[in-house]
This record gives sequence, C-alpha cells and structure tokens, in this order.
Amino acid sequence: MTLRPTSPGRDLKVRYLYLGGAMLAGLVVLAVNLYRLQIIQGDEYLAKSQENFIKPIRVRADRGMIKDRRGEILADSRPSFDAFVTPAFCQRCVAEVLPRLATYLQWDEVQQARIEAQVKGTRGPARFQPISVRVDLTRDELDVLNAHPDELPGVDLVPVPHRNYRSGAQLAHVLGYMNEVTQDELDSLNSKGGGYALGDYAGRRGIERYFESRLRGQDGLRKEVVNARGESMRDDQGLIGGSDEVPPKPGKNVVLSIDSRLQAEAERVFPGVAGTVVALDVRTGFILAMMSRPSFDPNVLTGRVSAAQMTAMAKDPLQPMMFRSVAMHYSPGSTFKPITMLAALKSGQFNAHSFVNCTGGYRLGSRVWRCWADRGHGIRDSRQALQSSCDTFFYHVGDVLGLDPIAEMGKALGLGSPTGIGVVGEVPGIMPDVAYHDRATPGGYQKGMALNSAIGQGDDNVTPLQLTLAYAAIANGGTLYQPQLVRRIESVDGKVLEEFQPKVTRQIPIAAEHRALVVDALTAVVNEAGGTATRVRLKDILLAGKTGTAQVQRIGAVREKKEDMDYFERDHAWFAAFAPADDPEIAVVVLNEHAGHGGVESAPTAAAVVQKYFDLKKADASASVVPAVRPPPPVEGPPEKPTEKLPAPGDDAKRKLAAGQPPPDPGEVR
Amino acid sequence: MATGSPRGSARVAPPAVDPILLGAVLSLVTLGLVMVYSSSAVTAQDRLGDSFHYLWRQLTAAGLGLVAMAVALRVGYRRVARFAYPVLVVAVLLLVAVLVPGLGTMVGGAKRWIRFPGVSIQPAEVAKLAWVVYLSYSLAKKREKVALFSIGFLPHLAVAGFLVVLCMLEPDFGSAVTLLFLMFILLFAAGTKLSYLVGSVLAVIPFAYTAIIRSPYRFARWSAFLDPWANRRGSGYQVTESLMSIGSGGLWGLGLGDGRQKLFFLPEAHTDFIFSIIGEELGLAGVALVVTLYGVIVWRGIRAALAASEPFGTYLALGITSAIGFQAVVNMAVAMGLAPTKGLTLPFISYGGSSLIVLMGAAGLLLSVAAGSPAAGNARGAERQARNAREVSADLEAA
Repeated sequence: MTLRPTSPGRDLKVRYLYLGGAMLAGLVVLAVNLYRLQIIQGDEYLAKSQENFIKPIRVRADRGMIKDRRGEILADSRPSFDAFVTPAFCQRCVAEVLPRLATYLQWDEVQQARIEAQVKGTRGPARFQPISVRVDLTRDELDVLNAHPDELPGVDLVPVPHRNYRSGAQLAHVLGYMNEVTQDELDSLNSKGGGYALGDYAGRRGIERYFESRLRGQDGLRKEVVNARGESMRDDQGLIGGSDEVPPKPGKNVVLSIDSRLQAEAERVFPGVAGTVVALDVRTGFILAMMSRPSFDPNVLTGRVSAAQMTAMAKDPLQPMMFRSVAMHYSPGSTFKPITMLAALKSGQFNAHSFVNCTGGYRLGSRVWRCWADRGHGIRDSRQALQSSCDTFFYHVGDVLGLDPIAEMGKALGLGSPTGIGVVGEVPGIMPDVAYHDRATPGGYQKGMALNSAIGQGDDNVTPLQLTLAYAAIANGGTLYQPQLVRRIESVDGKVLEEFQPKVTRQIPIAAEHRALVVDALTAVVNEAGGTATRVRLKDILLAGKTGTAQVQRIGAVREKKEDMDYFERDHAWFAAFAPADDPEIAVVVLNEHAGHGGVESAPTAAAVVQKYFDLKKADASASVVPAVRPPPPVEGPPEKPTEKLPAPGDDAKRKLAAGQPPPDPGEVR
Repeated sequence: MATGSPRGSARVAPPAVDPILLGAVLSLVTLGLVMVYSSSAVTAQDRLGDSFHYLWRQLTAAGLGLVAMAVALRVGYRRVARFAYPVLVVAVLLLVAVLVPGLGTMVGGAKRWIRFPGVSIQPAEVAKLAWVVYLSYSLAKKREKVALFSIGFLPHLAVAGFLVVLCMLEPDFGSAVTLLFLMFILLFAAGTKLSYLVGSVLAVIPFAYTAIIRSPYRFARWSAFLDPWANRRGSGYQVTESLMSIGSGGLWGLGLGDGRQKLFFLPEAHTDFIFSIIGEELGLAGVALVVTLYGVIVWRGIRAALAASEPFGTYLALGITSAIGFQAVVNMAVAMGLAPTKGLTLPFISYGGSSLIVLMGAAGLLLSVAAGSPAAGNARGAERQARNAREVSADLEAA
C-alpha cells in the first residue's frame, strides 16, 4: 500500500493535544510549587540556609621530612598561622577592618594600599575567596589578632604548617625551598592527581621539587557547620556524619646520603667567598657532602620574602642561587692531568719511564707554551711530572697524542656529559675533541688545542661533581658511579618503603699498572717532598690528591700577583683528592673560586673534610659498640706506605718511548 | 528569503523560521551560559585556577550547537528520515563503546563518557535523538499497521529493551527512563491501543522496582526523595541543599552571582542542579521565566507537530518536544524535591557539551518541521512541501 502524505486522523490529533497539555500541566505544577517554595516558605528556607552551611574543609596533610643519612632532621614542618580576609564576610572592611589589621600587623602604606585594592577589586563570587594578608604570623601578631576577634569580622587565622629548614643556608641548594604554586602550574600538577589548590605551596629545586609527590602526602576532608558569615557553628543537629571525614595521608620522609656533620665541617673550613665542596663515597657514588657558597636561606624564600630581597639576590654578582657543584662548569686546570696521564699510558707511547726535560716551557711551531714553573722543572718522568704538576710534560703528551685520545679518556671518566644525579639541575660540561673544535671553534682544530686540553685548560670544562666522580673512578679501579643524594624513602613511622642501590654508569677499562702509577703519583703530591700539596699531609690517613690552579684569564707577558688582579679575573683554586690511597673510601673535590693557588686555598679544606670523615667513622664505630649485635669493624691502622707498586718496566721495553730517549734515572728528584 | 530570484529561491531559500520557537531556544542557551559561569566560577577557580574554565567549554559547545542547528534547519528534517537506521546504529555502537574498558571514562561510579583528546561525548545524549528519529521513521512507515501488536508494538519494544539494557549497564537510569518515556509518547501519538501501553507500563514496574531496590545508590536516592530532611547529612544532602537554595531566592533572588550554595555546598551546581542556583540568584522571577520558556517550546513544538504535512514530521516534532519537555520537568522536579534524583540535565541550560550540541541540533530539526508546514506562513511552503512529501513517500516506499 502506498503511503501518502496524510494529516493524522482526528482521534490522533486529540492525543497530541493531550500530550502537550500534560507537559504544560507539568510545568504549571512546577510553577505552583516554586511559588510555594520561594514565596510562602521562602523565609524559612532562607533562615535554614543561613544557619546551616555544611562546609567541607580541607585538612592539609603533613609534609614528609627530609633527613640526613643518620636520621637527623634537615627539613620539617612547624605549626604556624596565616591570616586571611574574606571580603564577603568582612563588614566595613576598607573603612575599619583593614586599618586595624594594618596597625596590628605593622603594614607599611604600600602593603595596605595593595590589600585595600585587592579587597575593593573583588566582585561577585570572588568575594568568597579568602585573600592571604600575612603568612607565617609571629607569636605576638597571633596573640594580638586572637585578642580582638570581634573587631575583625571576615578575618581568619588558619593553621598552616610552615616548612622549617633547620640548617638554614647550609644545604639550601640540595634541599631546595617551597613557594606558592602559580595558576599555570595548577593544571599540570592536578592532571597528575596532585589535589592542589591556589595558595598551596610546592617544592622548588632540589629534593623538595624532585620528591614533591612523595613528600606532599594527600589532603583529607573535614566537614564543618558554618553560618552565612562563615563562622563555625556547633553541630547541634548532627548534620555532619563521621563517615564523611577523610583523614589526610601524611607525606613520606626522604633520607639523604648526606652526613650533616660532614656538611657542616665543609661549611666551616671552606675559606672562600665563593666555591664548592663535594664529597662522595667512592664505593657507591652516594654523596656525603655537597656545599655551595654563597648560598641562600630557604626559610626566607619559603616565607615572607620581599621584592627587595629577591632583587638583591638576583643582582648579587656571586649568584647565590647558583648551585656551583653541578650547575656551573669550570676549567679543571691541573686536576685534569691524571686523566691526561691515563690517556698517555693507555696509548702505549708513554710509560713510567718516559721523561721530559722541562725548561719552563714547550715549543710548538712558533709559539711557546709556558710551564707554571717559570724556571723549569728539569728532567721529569711520568710520576714526577704528575707529582710536581709539570705542564711541560703534559704539553708533550698533548703534542704526541693529539686531542682525541685525551678526550676519549675524559669522556670515559664521565666528563662532558651529565652525571645523571637527577635531583638538581646540572650542566654537561665540555670535553672537547677534534670534532668539537671543527664544529665550534672558528678556524677548526689546531694542534695547540691538544696542548691546552692536556693541562685542563682550553675548552675543557667540568662541573665539580663530574671531577669528583672521575677521581672516585680512578680511586676505585675504574667504576664510574651515577651520583645519588637519596638513600631511601621512609613512611612516617620509619618503615623503609624504597631503598636506593648504587648505580654504575659504566666500567672503565683502566690497566691496573696505569692506575697504580697515577695513584702513587697522587699520593706523592701530598706525602712526598716535591709534591704540590705537601702542606696538607695527614698524620693517620694516606691522602692522595691533585692541586689545580685554573686560569680564568689568558696570562699576559708578565704574571700578575693575585692581589693586583680584578676578583673575577683571578685563578680558580682546585683540589681533588681521595683517601685512603691504598683502599679508597672517600673522594673530595674543593673549588675555591678566584682564590689563586689550589695547594694553598683548596687543599686544606679537602684535607680537613677527609680528616673529619675518618674521625666521624671512628666515633660512630665506638659509639655503636654498646648496642651493636656484631662487633664494630676494626679501625684501619694508618698505612705507612702505598701498597701499590710501580709496574715493572719490562713490558714497556718493546714499546716506543717518548722521543726515543733512554729511561731517566729514577732517583733524580730535585 | 523573499528577495532571491524565483528559480534560485526555490532551491536555496532558507526555510521560514518560527521566531518564537527560535527565540525561546536561544534565550535558554544564553541564560544557560550566564548561569554556568555564575554557578561554576568559584569551584573552577578553586580547583582549576581558572574561573572561566566551564564557561569557555560551554561557549564552544554553544557555538557548535548553533552550527548543528543551522545545518539541521538547512538540510531539512525530511532528508533526515533516510538516516534513521545509520544514526541508530551509530548510537548503539557508541553505547557499546562506552562500556569498553579504556574507551569509556568512569566518573562518579558510572561509565557515561567516551573521552577523546579535548572532547568527551556522552553516548546517551546522542542515543535519545537517534531513538526519536528512528521511532518517527518507523512509525510513519508502518502507518496503519501501528495498531497491530506484532508490527507496531513488539518490534519497537524489543529495540527499546536493547537500548535500555545498554543504558543500564553504564549505569544511566535517567536516560533509560527517558528512552522508554519517549517510546510511549510516540506510540501513544501514533495510535497504539491504550491497553498495550497501560499493560506494558504495569509490566515494567516490577523491573524498575528491582532496579531501585538492588542498587544501593538508587535506593538511597529514593529514600532521600521520600524524606530528604531525615537523610540530610547523607543521601538527602543534595536535595536539602537544593531546597534551601531555591527557597532562599524569594521573589527576586539574591542577585546574579551572589548565591551561596554553589560555594562548595551544592555538588553539581553547574550541571544537574543548576536550576537551584537560578532559583537562588534570580528568584521566582527567574525560574518563572525558565518555566515559561520551556512552556513556549512545548506550545510551538506541539503546534508544529499538528501542522506537519506528513506523519514523520509530526512524530519527529512530538518526540523532540517531549524529550525537551520531559527532561526539563524531571530536572526541575528533582531540584524541588518532587522527584527522586535522576541525573538528567536541564535542557539548553546545564553544563555539558554533548547534551547542548545534540539538543540544539534537535531544535534545528524541530524548527525545520515548523518551517515546512503551511502554518508557518511561507508562500512557497505548500509547493515545496508537496514536492518534499513526494520524495519522502518515495523514500519510505523504497525502504
């Protein structure tokens, strides 16, 4: 049958009208009810709504603590109060309340004007948003405000735990600090389920930032009956069920590998205005101390930091926010020479008996590269060259090897690439090779560049942490560790949730006899006459190390005295060390910026840190005698001599000796 | 539309638009934008740091909705008949997809959204319109046979049952009820015997009862409905807060933006309970306006249905009008404590992109039905209508 456009039958049209009528009737019923609700019973509901608001209140979770390796608290939270003004509840706000607050809190005019403008500027729903008018109230301020609650409608004192950094500026770069999250950050934080609100603090830099999610914990929820003015009421009607409450989950504790006593010692003994000390365990890569000076007080940055303080910090030429241990790179100077030496030995073109006659410089083409000893060192073999830091010897190595073998050894030891410490931002440094110069230097690679790089100048740039790791790798026989600052994550009640294991970046194939020669020479630097750091020889501990005095400025025709130079043109003083030389445990690098000679300005600091490390070890061992189940490990006696022996020269007999010269008389030491 | 050449205008002249119906729809959408901002600004600021978060999204949806409305109007409801089956199939696929783990997003214990980067769609909203189009087409095709139990009643009941089961799996009780309601309306309008309808309603009651009793949250909603004040701190919380909110509005309201319930007291203030905020901030005057606007849509919708030139148009207009009217009445009734909480949004007003876009598209079809009738006063209407009617008949026969 065909379907033709027909209008519906009469009986069906009636059905449509029924439908429409039913819907309209529904609307009319609603309208009548609305009239009943809003006009007849309106006052009743208005009163109810004003008396009884159930307001969900966020209960902040306690932030986890940061502790040192022995459990000493480095950062925790202390109870504190912030003051807020809620414009909607603040009657006669600008006329009366704010002037009173200004008196009690001793605002200056700028501050008062700013808050007045803020209060006046809010419209509509924003008037219910509390405005923070003072964070971290002092005890006196709190007392005054608490004494006048009736004078201050709409002013709330909210308990907010405040971060407390117990050692102040001492570990600031490692720990970081906290401040308010910005609007832009909220989205990204909350997309990861962070549960942040405006006004919340989040960790900045260092441990606080890197472990933010674990330190933070999870906020809980509590319900409170409040009236229309936002005042808390007694819950007379049992409106709040206990089941609705969600307890906060406290954050986890982060336990560092830092020993705060060693850190304090580094801080105490470091003499310079700017520089850094890095100490780590050569057997694991865990960092024991990492000091960077100048520093900043995280308590100030986390709290009420003024604009003036921020500008002063930003304008300080010494850049206190800069974490010198990892975020700046420097020419390593002579501290690089052990690496050049390893490259030289590995090449087979040098051995223990290779020697150079230092006359105060090295000629290549028409130019003379100067040795730091203007009058020359005389004849120097490999060990002596390293011990007395003879530049001429290493110029020669650079000349013979070229740049790439040296760069290869440097890179193997971790120079020129990030260490992977993770927690703090680091720069990669530069380990130049031929390809690098062809790419980056106008005119491309020149032979002289190898000479500069061989003594740790030129484009060689390392971070102090990289250098420490390289020395640690030499000390432990060739294991390059990934440095770590955190030992473990603990729950609030001290249960270990996560334990971090040493991470090996790579094993470097260093021949035992090559390592032995270098270690022996570095031991001689401190412990034998003719070394550049004999003044810091330790009584009980066999310290091995290397001084470095890195030029910041090209030396002119005349060598200037330190005092005559502009501060920022003076040499950097380095000392890189490990101990004990025969069974290394700790590596320490000290960089004293623009301080001059490494042996004088940096070596004593390194020696003091090493001394402190072994003092503490001894003290801890004897302290643990009483409660310990097992006997304490025997304290190592002072070794008199390095156990490493020089490699026998026989193997080298067939090898081509540098410049074809006969082996020097080993007894010749000036 | 009257200025073009006769030949050109016969082909491309836009249909005559019912200005009253269009005005009512646009007024509701505009009011919705204002109220979405007012009711969500504080929570959005607090939780997302951007008080405009929901407003921007709703504005985007309204823009897309306008496009959907214009397209629907331009294409004309008659051509939509052709797509009745494909659209229903798409709707079913979406309803199935939302249940697939990984595709459907769980929000508040129910899987109702399919989330794509940047957008999320609610299949149930699409399904409602697809269901109306399909039923209208099917009933128009079967015309005289609708009265027969095996042809006019049973097949539709079977398809409805399938869709209802899919909705209940999400679970989405409100949409399931809406789908059933729309079927009854359209069957009723198409001339199904009243005894079948009454009988099937009676048959559904035990199932609905079981669904309520066996689902804790639905049971809680039911008991909250019966006595919200006794369950005030639990299941009755939303309703009592909503009642206080509407009640405290009085005649003129507390003023736009000055409502207090949206300040974290009333959950879902910008979606399911936006009517409470309108009541609080704009008072009886505001809600009366809203009720009147829905009344206007019902009036013009029924009028278009009556005047439509063929059954498909009639059923489509009835179905769309009922869908809007039903959801509006139920949502407002819930806000006033007159019906148990359902999870149905307030058409055109509540925050929600899928719902707004689909509803505006549906409004476009409704406008198209209204425009296609001689009652709309278009001089060329009768001629075009006759031609289009022939096309539809041909389509229907072909099908």
